[in-house]
Amino acid sequence: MRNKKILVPLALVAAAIVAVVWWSRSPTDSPMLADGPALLSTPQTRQDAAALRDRMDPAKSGWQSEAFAEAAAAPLKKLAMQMARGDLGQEEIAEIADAGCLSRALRPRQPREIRRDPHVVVRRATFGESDEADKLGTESLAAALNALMSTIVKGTETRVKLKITSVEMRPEGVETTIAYEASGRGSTGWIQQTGEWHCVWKQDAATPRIVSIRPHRWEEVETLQSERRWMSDCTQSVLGASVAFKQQLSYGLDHWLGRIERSHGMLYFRRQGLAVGDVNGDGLDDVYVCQAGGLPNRLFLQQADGTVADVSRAAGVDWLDSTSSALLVDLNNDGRQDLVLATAAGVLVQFNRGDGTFGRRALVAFDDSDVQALSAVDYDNDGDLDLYVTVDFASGTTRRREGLPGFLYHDANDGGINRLLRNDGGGKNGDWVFTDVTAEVGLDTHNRRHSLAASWEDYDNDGDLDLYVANDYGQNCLYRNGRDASGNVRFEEVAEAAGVVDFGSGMSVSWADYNRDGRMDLYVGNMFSTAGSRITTQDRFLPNTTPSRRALYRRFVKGNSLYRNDGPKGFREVDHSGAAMGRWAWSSQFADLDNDGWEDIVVANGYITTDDPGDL
Amino acid sequence: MSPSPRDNSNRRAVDEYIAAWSAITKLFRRGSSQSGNERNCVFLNRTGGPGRAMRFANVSAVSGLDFPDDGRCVVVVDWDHDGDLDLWMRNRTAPKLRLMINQTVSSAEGNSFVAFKLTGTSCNRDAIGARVEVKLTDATAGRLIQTLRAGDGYLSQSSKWLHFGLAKGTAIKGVSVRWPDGQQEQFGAVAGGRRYKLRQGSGEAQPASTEPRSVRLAASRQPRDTNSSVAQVLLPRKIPLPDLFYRGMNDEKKQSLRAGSQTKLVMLWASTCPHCRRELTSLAKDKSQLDAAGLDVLALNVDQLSVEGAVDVTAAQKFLDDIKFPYRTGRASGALLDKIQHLIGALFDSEVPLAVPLGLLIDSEGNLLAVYRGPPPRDVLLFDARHADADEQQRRDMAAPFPGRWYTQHPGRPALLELLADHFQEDYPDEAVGYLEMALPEVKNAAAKQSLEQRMAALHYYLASQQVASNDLAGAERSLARVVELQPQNRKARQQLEDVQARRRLRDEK
Repeated sequence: MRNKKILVPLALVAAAIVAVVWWSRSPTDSPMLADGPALLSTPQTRQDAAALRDRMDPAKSGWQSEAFAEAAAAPLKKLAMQMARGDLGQEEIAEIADAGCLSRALRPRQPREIRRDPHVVVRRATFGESDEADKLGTESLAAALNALMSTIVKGTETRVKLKITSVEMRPEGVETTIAYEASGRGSTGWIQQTGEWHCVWKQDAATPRIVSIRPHRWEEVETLQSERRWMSDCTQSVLGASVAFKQQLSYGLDHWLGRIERSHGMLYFRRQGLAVGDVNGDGLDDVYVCQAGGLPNRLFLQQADGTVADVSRAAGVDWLDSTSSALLVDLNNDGRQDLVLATAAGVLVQFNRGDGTFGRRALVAFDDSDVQALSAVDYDNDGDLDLYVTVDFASGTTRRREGLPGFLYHDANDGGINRLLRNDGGGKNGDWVFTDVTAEVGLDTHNRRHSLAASWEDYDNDGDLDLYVANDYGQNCLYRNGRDASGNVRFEEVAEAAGVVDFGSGMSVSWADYNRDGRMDLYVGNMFSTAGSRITTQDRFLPNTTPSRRALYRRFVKGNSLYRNDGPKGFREVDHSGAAMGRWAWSSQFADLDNDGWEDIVVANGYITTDDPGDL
Repeated sequence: MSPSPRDNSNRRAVDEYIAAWSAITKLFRRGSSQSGNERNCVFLNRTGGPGRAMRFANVSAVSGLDFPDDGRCVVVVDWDHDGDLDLWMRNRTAPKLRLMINQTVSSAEGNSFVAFKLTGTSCNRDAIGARVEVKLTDATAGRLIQTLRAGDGYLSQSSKWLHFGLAKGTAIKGVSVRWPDGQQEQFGAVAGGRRYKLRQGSGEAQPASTEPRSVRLAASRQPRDTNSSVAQVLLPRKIPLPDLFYRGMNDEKKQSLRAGSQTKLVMLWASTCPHCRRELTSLAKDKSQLDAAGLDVLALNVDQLSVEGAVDVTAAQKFLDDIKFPYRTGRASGALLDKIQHLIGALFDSEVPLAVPLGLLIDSEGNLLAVYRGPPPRDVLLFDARHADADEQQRRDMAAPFPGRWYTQHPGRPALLELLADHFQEDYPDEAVGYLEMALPEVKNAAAKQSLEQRMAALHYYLASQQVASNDLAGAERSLARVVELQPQNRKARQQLEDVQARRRLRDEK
């Protein structure tokens, strides 16, 4: 806090100067430059910048539905706050709803109990159009909202969120869908409600007013036996003694972006991962933390009491090079976990010497620096683990050399190349040998689609491992492991036939048998956007496009995908899985959190949070 | 936004689209939020069984995992060996790490687990790719399957312990493993609530050591990071300064910021800023210390920069007189600040707005060595000044804020110079050309050299067009001559060079 006011922004001193500076940066990668002498067009002038700002303003860019969603956000926020506070009165409702508003019971009279376990009960309802008659007036709406919130004890932990997910501008009123979430303490444990309303608005005044609210869907989860929520943040107690944790990991990326020069590899659009494995063979899992360039990676060894010791330096693994991901696997079958790192310069392999240190044994250089995820597999069954590496963007050099096509958001084919590296053991000079066999085994098909994640699984239960690759800007790939005529491993890209193309912006892959039919199902992390959901359903959105392409864009913002494996019939996307709205999802993973034998799902999400109160 | 083009056939549409993208990414780098403050999600499997179209339930809030972090990875591991799955999470925002300890299941409740660690003997030792099947006694419950994987989700590797939840009332009938080499093996005598090691070919599940662990991990809130902009950044390379000029406090004489025979701290300050005044006072007091380190100071005042016309520096001058400021002083101009913003903008991948006090450490050859946002602590300043002569490798090591090791080479200086050129070319094409001219002799790779020459020719050509427009024929002749030099085959440029030369002659004759 002491430091907060030390710097006086020059904006105060010299507003005009800062405004000029603000809008005058040129793009770093001007496409005009590669083409030889031509008058340089200035790709973004200050006028362009102003035009861009106007385009960002839905009212100015003609997106009336978005302007409406923006205008309705304030009354909705107010309503959410009042719901969280409880005991809504007629007066409060009158501020945001019409005196003649219509409403129905928002909490079902007889919710269906889906399943009651000792620790949790789930209740659900769907509402039909003719289930109930409308009631008139603000008092009825207040009563419906109070009844809805009646199971949640009001307090500082109570949270209510209302968001508009679709808008239809009609002459008689604006029809919207509202996603609602409420949570807080209940009478025994915690309660969470999730649902959807159909809400009609009147737009004649400056602030939109609610004309009617009717429920679509409702779900309530109640925990039955614990005051605590299920998972607790114990990071401090495990890492609190670590200096590196305090100095490096308790700050977000934005902090370091302004403090570490970019040539160290401190870049805005890079992401860093984690690997768990038993490094010292003591039966306890340890954790390796990848960091952005200029910050040293960390190896934390778990102690018997669950806390960790930072051995990064002594182990020789405190790399400052920009590292996306890591793997702890035994590459030479000596019973010790070796370290594989995906870095901007390529894949670095260090062998575990068994004395607490790691020695460098191989570096597989990559032309494309946007190296992402690692996975290990013995694809050829020769008894040692091979490595698969995904790459997002191609480097400028690759682009020029290969004459790659331009970037297409919905179906990109200009990405870097994912590589399968065959483990060929020790070479003459003591280096470990990895051979790129990507093309040889057929993994070069559809291999420029900006890949983020990949995961191996025997989806067809034929005894060998197949590969699913999630692509950010293109269709995803499923490579079936098979044999060619001479009996060599040959992968075939079968995503389309298998029904798992998934046009969404694929960020992660997780496999599990979620329905316990003996076949592995697939969950793919994508993005969900309320604004995107609203926009892509509008007639104004890409007015001249085909219905199929429009559907494709809706697909981009619809959220995560759950594909049920139906065996010979291929995969089938589960339409109403209840697990699609993972927001802007990154790693999305199956894990049976309550030990009931059914795989649950965890989604890490959120794109970019800053102090900026608005949202692009 | 420019709409996404249908395909690649329309070059112009693609270019516009890319320009729109780069505009969006710029907004990010300036601190815009997008899909921010989103809470992590957890979905509880209540699908009920094969063929039944029942849904997952949203338990994000009751799970306790719904932090509004910018989450990136999730790693699954039973960290404390208490029989349920815990999670390590990695975020973009602070805190970057969370260990989430699972407290869902108490023994009273009756849900249990079984976990296996596999060792391959005729397949890969980690047994990655093995499929484990747990058959349950309850026929309706069927079986549970899992595959051992290394790397899934996104940028995540979970534990190699395979963990199976066992609902209350279910017991294990048998465990079978299909090893990655195809071998099938049954393991008997496995009970719930325990952890086992399964060794290929042994046929026997070996209970893992039950050595008691006194794990006592407490839940606590992690503090939010303190959002301060104060920083001292030593740069991993010396950065050649562009042409930067300032004027005297009381005269209009232009002086170059690069000039000088000593390492100097240029301190930008405003008379209305108390921290600036305190810092100048302290620099004055520490003069002998700074002198001993060979460090000179230049205080550049930024008062009233936004005011058109005459600038009143009376207050600033009075303050300098009051503290008997013993160093050189001057006034910064808007142009100077703008160029500094361009320069600093090139060095960091997110934009930090300029603010005072802002310190720039500059060596005797006019290279930028360090940037100080806020007053630099004296020991930091003196350290940086004393190491003004450090070579590039030392500089790279010193610049990393924490110790560690590099295996990559220091990125080449030409790449840095080209990056500087990128940032200057729109508003200061002459500076951009200057950086590229510096880079050219250092580029060794033939293809890279050729592409750089192309780029330089384009920029010189652009400069020439501006020079012609402003009737600077001598400048235009120099620029076009350089284009011709870089691209002897460029007939158009050669023609225009001759035109400009002819026009100059005509003008001179007049």
